[in-house]
Amino acid sequence: MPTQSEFESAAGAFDRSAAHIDELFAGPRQLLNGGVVVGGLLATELHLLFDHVRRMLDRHADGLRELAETCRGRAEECATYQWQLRAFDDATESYRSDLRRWTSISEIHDQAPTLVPSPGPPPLPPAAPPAPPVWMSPGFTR
Amino acid sequence: MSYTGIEPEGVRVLADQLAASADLAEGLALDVDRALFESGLESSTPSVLRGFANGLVHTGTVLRNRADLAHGFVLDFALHDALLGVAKSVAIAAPACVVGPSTTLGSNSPCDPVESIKVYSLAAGAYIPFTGVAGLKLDASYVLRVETLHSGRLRVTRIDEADVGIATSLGMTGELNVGPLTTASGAGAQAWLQVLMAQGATYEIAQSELDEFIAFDLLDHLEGRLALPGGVAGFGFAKAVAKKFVGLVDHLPMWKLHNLVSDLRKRLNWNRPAPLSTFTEVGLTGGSNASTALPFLGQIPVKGKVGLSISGRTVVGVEHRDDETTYYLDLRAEIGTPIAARIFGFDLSKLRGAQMKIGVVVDEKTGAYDRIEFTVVNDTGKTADRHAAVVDLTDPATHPAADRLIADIADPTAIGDVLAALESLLGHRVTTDQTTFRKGQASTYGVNVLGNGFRFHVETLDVH
Repeated sequence: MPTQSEFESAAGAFDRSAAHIDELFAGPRQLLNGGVVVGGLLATELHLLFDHVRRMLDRHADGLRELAETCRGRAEECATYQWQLRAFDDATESYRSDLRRWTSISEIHDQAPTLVPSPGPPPLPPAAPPAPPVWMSPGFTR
Repeated sequence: MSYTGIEPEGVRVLADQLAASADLAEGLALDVDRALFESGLESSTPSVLRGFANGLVHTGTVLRNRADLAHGFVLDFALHDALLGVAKSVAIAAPACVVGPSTTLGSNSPCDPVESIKVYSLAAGAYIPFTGVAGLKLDASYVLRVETLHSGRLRVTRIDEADVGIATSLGMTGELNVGPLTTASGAGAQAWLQVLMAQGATYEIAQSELDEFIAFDLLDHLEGRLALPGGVAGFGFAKAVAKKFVGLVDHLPMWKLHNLVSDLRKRLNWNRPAPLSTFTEVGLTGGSNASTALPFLGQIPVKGKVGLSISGRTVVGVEHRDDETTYYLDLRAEIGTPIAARIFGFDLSKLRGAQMKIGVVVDEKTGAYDRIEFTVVNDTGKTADRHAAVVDLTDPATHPAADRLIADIADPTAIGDVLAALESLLGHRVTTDQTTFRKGQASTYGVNVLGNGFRFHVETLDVH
């Protein structure tokens, strides 16, 4: 499973690549429009081809930007999930110490109920965070 | 004729820039690959960029050569080819999960590829002379093509063909095929021209259902033959009678045969699934052959056979699938030893064969052109190559050329116009596929005397 920083780095790379794709064919197109080949089947086909290439590159640049967006979204979800996991760990730690304290007070109360007051109800365990998205499971690819 | 003006220095700079763009595209493909690896995502962009880079390098090189020549030119096939190469490399779409165009070697299916093909053919022919050297030639065949798919399922195509025409025949020949062995006698030559009509359907079934399919289909076939003389449909007569008979026999006290009969009854109760496609073809077939029997070593009574056969077949057809109809032109040519001839186990029945098929697919609901399918099968005797290219016609700009193509496709003499229309469509979204098959075992059983006889042939092909 990729980490938050890997998703962030991939998002940057996708954005940079999309920007480079935009520039990839600008030079040759400008030169052809400048009139280095004029008239005839060759010029027509080169213009058709260059237009076609531009449309194809635009489509792929858009695709890369969408991938970057997906990566950013997943990085954010990774961060949220990590934060929830840490909060759950802290709450679990605190629950364990509360439970130990409650158990010892409860035992003393059982032995000498007149000396030590009842500790009340036992502490409640913390709620686990919601399950992570399916793409976070190991081995998942899309 | 029109001329192209070239500014040599400018074109050289353009060629340099194309090479630089190609380098950049290669670098970008690497960057995107790395990002995809990091993120665990998938995209076709790196492979498209690499194909694009190759095309640019090629075009750049050709342009530089032309600039060096600094001559105006019109149709330059090398350059044309390079340009089409780039167009294809950038326009190749991911293959869709659909069954591709049908050929003599089945269909390509990118999401469940074919692993092997077995073809069973049962053919019968008659020659009825009405003058000294001319006569009526009648042929009929039933072909079952079974494609084993990667998933383990089977794609089965059944084809019925009937040919009626005239023939001229000289000499007297006889031939007997028993598996790998052929013996013959006499010498003769024949030339023929026939009108043909073929019908077929393709189904997808589980591997375990093949026996049921064959039993069902043979009865269905018999049903059709029974219905023909009266011109009235059989209403499932043959199947009903067979079911009744087997049901009755199953109740008789035949303990040893009980399992066999129950199994047959189960098969007869099997229902065939809806076909993936159905097609009808009409056209012409013609050819000529000449052969003579030769004694083998001059000692044993059986004889081999040598000779040459040339045949061709041109049909127009209509194929229906779920929501689409394909109108196509199918041309086949074959050169080999006389039909069904084999010399002591050496399979020389087909030395060289080729099929070319062009089809226009129309969406039945909207009536709009969907795509053009172009297939070529090249049979070299030991192997066979199947090439398929599918041109997407959803772009309205392609429709005038598609109109021209569909107008010419029904006219087999207008093949030049068909190819010109097809060429003008290349460069749009194209999906290509190439599969090579290696021919495996083949055996033939049959008898033929003076052009009358029958033949059962089985051939296996594996994907190379």
